[in-house]
Amino acid sequence: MKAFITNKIADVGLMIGIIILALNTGTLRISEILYQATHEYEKLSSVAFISAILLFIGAMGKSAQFPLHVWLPDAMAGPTPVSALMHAATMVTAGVYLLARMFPFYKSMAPEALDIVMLFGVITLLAAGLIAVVQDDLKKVLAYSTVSQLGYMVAAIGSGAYTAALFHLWTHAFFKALLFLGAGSVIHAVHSNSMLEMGGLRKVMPKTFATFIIGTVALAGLPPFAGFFSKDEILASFNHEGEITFFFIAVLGAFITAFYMTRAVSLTFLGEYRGHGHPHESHNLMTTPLLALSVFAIASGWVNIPGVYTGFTDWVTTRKNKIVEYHPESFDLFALSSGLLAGLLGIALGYYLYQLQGSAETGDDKIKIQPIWSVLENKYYLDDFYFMYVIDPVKINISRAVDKFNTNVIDRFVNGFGQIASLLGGIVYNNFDQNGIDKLLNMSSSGTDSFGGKVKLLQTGKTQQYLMLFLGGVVTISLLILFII
Amino acid sequence: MELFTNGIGLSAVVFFPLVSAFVITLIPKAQEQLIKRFALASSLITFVLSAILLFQFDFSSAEKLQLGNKISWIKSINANYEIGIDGISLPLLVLSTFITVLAIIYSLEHLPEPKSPKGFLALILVLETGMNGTFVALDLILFFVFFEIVLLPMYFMIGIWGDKTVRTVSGFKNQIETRLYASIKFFVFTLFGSAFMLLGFLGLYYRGNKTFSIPELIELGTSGAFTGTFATLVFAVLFLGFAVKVPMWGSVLLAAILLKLGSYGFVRIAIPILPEQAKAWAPAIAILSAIGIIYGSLACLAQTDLKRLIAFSSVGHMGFVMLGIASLTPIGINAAMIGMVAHGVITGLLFFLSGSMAHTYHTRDMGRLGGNMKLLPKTGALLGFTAMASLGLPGLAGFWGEFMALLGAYNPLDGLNTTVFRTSMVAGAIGTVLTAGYLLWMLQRVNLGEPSDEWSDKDLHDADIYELSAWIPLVILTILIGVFPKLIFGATNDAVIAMLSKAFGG
Repeated sequence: MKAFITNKIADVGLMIGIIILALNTGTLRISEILYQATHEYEKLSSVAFISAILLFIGAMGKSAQFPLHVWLPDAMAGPTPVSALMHAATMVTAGVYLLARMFPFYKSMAPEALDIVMLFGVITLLAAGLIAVVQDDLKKVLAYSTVSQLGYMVAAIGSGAYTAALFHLWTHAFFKALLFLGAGSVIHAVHSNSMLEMGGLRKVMPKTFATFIIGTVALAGLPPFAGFFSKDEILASFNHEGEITFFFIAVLGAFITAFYMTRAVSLTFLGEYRGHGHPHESHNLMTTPLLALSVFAIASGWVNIPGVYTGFTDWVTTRKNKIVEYHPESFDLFALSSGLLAGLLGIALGYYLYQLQGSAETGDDKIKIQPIWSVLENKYYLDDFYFMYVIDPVKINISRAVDKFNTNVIDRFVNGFGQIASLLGGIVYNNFDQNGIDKLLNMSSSGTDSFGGKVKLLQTGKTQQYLMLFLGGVVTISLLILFII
Repeated sequence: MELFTNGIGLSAVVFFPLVSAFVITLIPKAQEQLIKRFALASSLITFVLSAILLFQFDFSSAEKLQLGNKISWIKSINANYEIGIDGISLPLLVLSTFITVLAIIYSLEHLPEPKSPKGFLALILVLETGMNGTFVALDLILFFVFFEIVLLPMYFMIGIWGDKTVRTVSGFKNQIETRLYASIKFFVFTLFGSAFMLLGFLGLYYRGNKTFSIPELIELGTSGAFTGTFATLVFAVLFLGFAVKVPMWGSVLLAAILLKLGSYGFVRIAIPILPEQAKAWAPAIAILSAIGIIYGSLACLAQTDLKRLIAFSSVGHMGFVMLGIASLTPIGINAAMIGMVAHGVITGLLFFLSGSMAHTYHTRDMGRLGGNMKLLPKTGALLGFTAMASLGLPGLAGFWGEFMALLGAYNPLDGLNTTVFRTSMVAGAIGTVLTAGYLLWMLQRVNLGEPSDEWSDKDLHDADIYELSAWIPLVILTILIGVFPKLIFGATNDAVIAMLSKAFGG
């Protein structure tokens, strides 16, 4: 539900962005829009920035950028293969894909929007990485790691290196899927998601352990594994664009990534088993895909080695509507060394704290520094914020108010008509009809009756009275004739 | 086919149900099987007739009124029996006959208390005559007659077969049975609007050379015969008449078809005959539509009764239809047309499902209805599918109505206030989130989770063959229209463009 609604909110932005783009360029065809964006600028210029931002909002929802990332970790409730497919490789990358596909439009007509994209990407990669450090649920670590890596991809696009972003998308798909499936294997063996109940699994699950290590090292970005090449390209792009702050944040992110993955590995596989079950290696059906993926986790980076072989970059670069983009000719040593150093340091610190210090054994996590820890544990209180200020007001307060308004005000108004009608009917019937018209009718008959009764008194039978009346009548008439005519 | 080209076929589609209804009244009440078979057969025949019309229709000139006729009827006031269909009315007519067939199939075994199929099926057929007639009438008096014919069967159907629970109604002292309240409310509400509508028609008649013929009035209207305060007043009362079809306690036919009569009236009568007024009122209608979308969706979120939630959802969906109409553009009105058809299919199906569930569980309270997927898997699966369609999932029919209405609202007709329309568009887009919200929440409460203990010892029947045969065609139609909207646009587009260019100039 959270996933659907969060994505639907992002869809508002996407829909309106599409509408604006479509109606201003006169077409819904991506190729034609991109052509107009790179060759004929007039139609789009006034709406370019707003539609760029709106499309990005759509991408934010789908690719779980901060603050619309909240749905992804909760989606871990689903089965692990689903997570491996959707949340590692395919579905969440749709947003990144959208940005990459529309990149010529962004670069040519809305470069300020790209700065915003980069900002959100960097925020995401750092914020999610930090939350991953404090997770005890193995899948949640991987989920936040995915969000963080998506942040890398989005930030890369923002800095102008969309091929680097796509390259990282490609390598990430392999090693993250590997990690998720490995986690699935572990969870299946231990019957629990929580790393506190794991430990020592390297002895009983050697294949899972080995492939998981491969995935971890790939994610941490050590050569010659896949993540090294893709992450390095992103860092190089930051460096080249002169975005030094973001560069260092990304390097810090690499450090944090290596750190939390090492923590996860040592809590899960190293040390001694802390749980209550009898874990054993998973069936071949589960481990064979792990082996296959680990091959790719090692090798998928080799399709793009600057200075040696750049097949991947050549392939994904747009040919029509070409946008000039920076492609490193050889390794950027500064970026390379920073990234490598950060990764190694992260692994070292993780190993030190968790393995050597035996935090895993004692369960005493040395890094639980308050109050930072609780902020991270509560995911920056973002979920609480959403529930308190967005969801509940609408769902409970506003909607009930609307319903009450409908029933008590509008309906009462309508029913009031009915009441007025019956009231009027009563008035008309009682007052007009009964007291008024009927009364008049009755009065005419009773009046006639009483008048007749009075007139009949004239019929006395006495001749003298008749003669007197006759005389009186003659006098009156003659007087009338004399004075009026 | 001669019969069809000279209008007899079209008249048959309109009047055959009425004749069948009459025949049913002659059949003794005890012969229930015969009555049911006869009703089903006649609705099928009517549907086949309308399908033949579909094939006889010339889609390359969909903007022309076809397959119709004009016979002198009431000479003294120049009211004629003038009928015909074009690309706008054709989909609605076929939808109407189709849904009637499905409604009858469903009712064969699932009639609420008091059962008496004779009365119910006869009334449905009379209703069908009214609906079909409204969509083909081209004379204002004829239109009015059919528009009102639908009231009588609906009044009785709601009043007799409706919900018997007694409830308090705000403003009244005594409690009242829901069905009685609802039937009177429906009747009076609609009649109120129709009274004004009749005044509008009379106004047009007197000003327009004493003709009731819609095509002639359109000619007069677009050549400037109706102007000024008169025209504004007439538009206002027509608006009242058409806009007042509010769904209260919905039933399948009410939501599926009767709502469309109002919006159809706009597209067929109000806009073509009085285009200047339509343009003047369009921003107000857009704002009302946006309010309707948001208001309807918010009210849905607060509902605890499943059927009432679906009824309010119609308010939201018709908001999109009216927004499309208010934009006065081909995109917008096409969106309204496909929105009408999609709404008829999807919400009709939703009402079918909720009615069936209400019958099985004897409650519509969503608090008690949890875990439906486990108890009634077929019904639950269909409910999930239909809810997805209703919230506008792309690939299903509902998406086109929503998205294209927003698309149309962005660039309304030249001269209309774009700020108003674009704000309404944004409101509508936000409305889609609310729509998703209440439908998913409904699914969560009803379909998912664990069934409550009160159902554990009850023998609950899942959908039977009658229900499934009524529902599956709608599912197929939802998917077909969703992936191939040309099914509708192929008919409506030419007619809409012709209507608009005539009304507002090329």
